[in-house]
Amino acid sequence: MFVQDTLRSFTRWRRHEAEAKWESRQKLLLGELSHRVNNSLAVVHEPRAAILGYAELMQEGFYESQDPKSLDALTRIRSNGKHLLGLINTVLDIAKIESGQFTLNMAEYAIESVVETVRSATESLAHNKKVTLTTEVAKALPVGLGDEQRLTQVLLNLVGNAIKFTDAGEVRVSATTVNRHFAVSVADTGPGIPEEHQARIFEQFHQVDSSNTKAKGGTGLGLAIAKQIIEMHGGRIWVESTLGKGATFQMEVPIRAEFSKGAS
Amino acid sequence: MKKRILVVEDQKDLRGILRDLLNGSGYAVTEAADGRDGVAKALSERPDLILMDIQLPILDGYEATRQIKADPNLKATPIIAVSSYAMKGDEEKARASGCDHYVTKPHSPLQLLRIIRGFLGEQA
Repeated sequence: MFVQDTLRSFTRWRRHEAEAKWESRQKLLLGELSHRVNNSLAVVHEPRAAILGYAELMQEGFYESQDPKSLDALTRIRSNGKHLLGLINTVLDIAKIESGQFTLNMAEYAIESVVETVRSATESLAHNKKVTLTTEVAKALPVGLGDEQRLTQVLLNLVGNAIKFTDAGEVRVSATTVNRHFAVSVADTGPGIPEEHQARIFEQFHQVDSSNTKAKGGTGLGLAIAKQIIEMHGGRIWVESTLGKGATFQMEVPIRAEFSKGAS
Repeated sequence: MKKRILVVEDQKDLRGILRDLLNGSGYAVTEAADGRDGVAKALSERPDLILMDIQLPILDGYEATRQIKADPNLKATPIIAVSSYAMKGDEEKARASGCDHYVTKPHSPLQLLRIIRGFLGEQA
């Protein structure tokens, strides 16, 4: 009995040790990866530029022999290339977050241009899905201080998700100020998010319906990265939703944010 | 007379895209694969416009641009910096070294073409 117990607890201890080792190796690997990537982002972007660049030239008729089927294939190459780049960037962001190397580039920005960038990047996606995309930006908003590129990434993720999960409905983006914060919301008329998932969808890899993953093409990482970015700005992000009545993602970011690395 | 564009880019495939884009749009293209060769070809060929990568072997794009812009014959030749990826401050550095415009890879070839045409005073 005693021997068995000892053996069992020894095995358990070994397992713990192995897990701890694995975790620390994983962290080292992630750190190394993001370090290398920081030093040579071209490693990712050059092949991407080559694939998408040649595809665009072919599609635009710079080469001979263009039957409709090959044009269709090129459209797919381009959109998949873009998708793949998005996935790579997502994984790299997570690697940076996990290894504590995720930082913000603080500068002045206009929240209006963040909304406009996202609107123009997603309007064709909305159009293809017959989703009405509207933006509503309050007049004379103050100049913000924060990482415009990262905030754009967050809003792009929210609007992209909203369109993805809404079939022939409406997605409404609005931006205004509340108590020295920019308040930006993305409301959709999609299926909504069950209450028990509303906090957890901001966790890494948490998805409401994993059978949806393949159909919707998500990684379950976008919102985790979004939360990180917003919290590093000293803001917060959450969702309000009633099943069957759509979801509203909201974020509040200090207009003049201070970069805080400690957030998690 | 075709307008001549010098492409300074070390990555073979990316050079190929620019070559096909520009040849297909009626320009004559000269290529250089490093910064030193870029400066030499700029001086000998006197192109109408230069596309300059930033991360280049031997001489980087900033230094190559400085050397080209120091030549009185090439002072007015537009140089468009084409950088692999955007980092804060890169655009300022490119402009400080004398670049007339700055685009970040991955750019769309056709967008780049519109910028080039703008600089050459042609219709987009």
